[in-house]
Amino acid sequence: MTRPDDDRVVVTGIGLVCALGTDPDQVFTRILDGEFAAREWPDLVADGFPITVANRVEDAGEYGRRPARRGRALTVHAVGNAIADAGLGAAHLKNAGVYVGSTMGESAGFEAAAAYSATDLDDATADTFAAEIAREFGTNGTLRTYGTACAAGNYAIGSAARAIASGRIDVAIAGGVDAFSRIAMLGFARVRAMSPDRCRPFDRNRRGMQLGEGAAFLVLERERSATRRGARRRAVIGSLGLSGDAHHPTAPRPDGSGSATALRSALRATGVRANEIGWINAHGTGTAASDAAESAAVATVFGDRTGPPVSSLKGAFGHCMGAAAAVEAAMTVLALERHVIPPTVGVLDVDDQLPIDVVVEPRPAPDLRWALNCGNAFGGLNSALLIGAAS
Amino acid sequence: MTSGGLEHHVANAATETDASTWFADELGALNWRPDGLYVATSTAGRLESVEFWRAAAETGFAFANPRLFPWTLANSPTGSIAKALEVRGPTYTLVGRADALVGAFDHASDDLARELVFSAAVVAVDVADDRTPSLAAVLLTSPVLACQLGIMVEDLEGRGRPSDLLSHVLARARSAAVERRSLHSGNV
Repeated sequence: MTRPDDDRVVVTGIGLVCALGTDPDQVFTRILDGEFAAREWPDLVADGFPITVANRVEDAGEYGRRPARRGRALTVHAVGNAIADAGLGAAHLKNAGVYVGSTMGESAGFEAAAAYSATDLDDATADTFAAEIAREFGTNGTLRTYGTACAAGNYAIGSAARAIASGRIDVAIAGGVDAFSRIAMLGFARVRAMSPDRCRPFDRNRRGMQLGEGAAFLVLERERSATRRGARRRAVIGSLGLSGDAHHPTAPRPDGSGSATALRSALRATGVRANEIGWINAHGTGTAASDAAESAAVATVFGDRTGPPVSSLKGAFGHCMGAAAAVEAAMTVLALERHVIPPTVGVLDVDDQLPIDVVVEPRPAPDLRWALNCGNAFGGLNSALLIGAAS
Repeated sequence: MTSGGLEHHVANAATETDASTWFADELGALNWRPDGLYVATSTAGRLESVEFWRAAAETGFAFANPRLFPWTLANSPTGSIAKALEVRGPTYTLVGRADALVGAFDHASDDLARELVFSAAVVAVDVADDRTPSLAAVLLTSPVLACQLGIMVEDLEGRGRPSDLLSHVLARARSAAVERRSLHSGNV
């Protein structure tokens, strides 16, 4: 059974920064137009990186002045925009909870420490982002940091929604952040997870992921409170389904059973039936193993080639690590508002071995009510966040 | 409703890689299979990040160690322990010190209360100093106990070093486990 409307947790604000832009509506439109941000970077070529194509935020002036604070600069920009979008004042923010997902922390700080530069590692560790939000925006509520790798954004948003639904907090700022990480750029290349050119999720010739960067944050509130203050209700946050693979440090279970458990858990906990799901915003990294396992999971839960349409957005703005699921959650809200399913940018030749309906062109979806936002990660994490239309 | 407490300090562990691998083996030997795993870490892969990058700079990027890279991610201890304990339910990794441990208890007690899980392991990976992480675990099957521990941690928050706090938590957990063992022998 779905929760009563006045108990729902709603999204009232969105802010983001990614390689495709800083305005959520414009980023969504660019995805509909099939645009992508990946390009070769001369500094990566000069430094001898094995892979030199990435999705980085171009505005080095604003975010690049202090590399060891780049993640915090991205965070402050995205959170500021989310708060403005929600129309939240200082009084509402005072007791807001802050829920942040991050994979790498301030990676440039660790790189500096490796070069024997005097560095306070506490200042670079992932919980520095939540502390920065509290300082910058004057929040005094709960601070939580989820180091759950590439699923971290879903963890942060789902956990914040749960805290609101259970009455522990009234307002939350929730999302994820990761600045471009040279450690990740090298590491993912060395574990052979990266594509040397384009990221082509669900393509027959997919060759891997591409690194991105960014930050995305949502303002979440109880619907009754949002209505009372006249805020725009942009979407509903349902439950977060989680599971563990207990299988391998970097590879998913090939049968997708872990991911399927997370999908089922999200549906069951929210009381939404499988046939009510109108779109799956997949994790879709573009690696052979991950896309195959995720497709198997979707087929297990929704039927072989009979389930909801599936897109991956990582071909458009790259894999934003701890921000990935949060940026994609923001795009899921836009899809629900605009009643259109965005395409899988980068796909040329859909892999017909995958038992899913891959979206390759924008698809009108006038009846889209519920979508699943998926994020999986090294260490065998699987997450699925249910997001619904506000009305 | 049963509970158990464990504590391990790995004095000679160079990194959380060593510590959590060893610790996963220790927990695995108990033959106890929690449904959910809730890890609080103050190290969050940062020592491995420094080590990975420093070694790559010395050897050249073409020879960077692919086996070390996954350990730069904060959730690697969680993945390692989850694999050892065969945890197929929720796994959380919360980054921070006392606040992260409070968060781990919150999530564990919430999931127990909602019957998403019926047993939970709460594990802390703590920086004793920069080169000697230690780990500690509390095994829970009672939302009541989880809540009590959560409240106690909040009471202690801000006092002393995190390792002192963990010692308090674990002493309470062990005491509770001993009491409950007398009623439910053989459960832990």
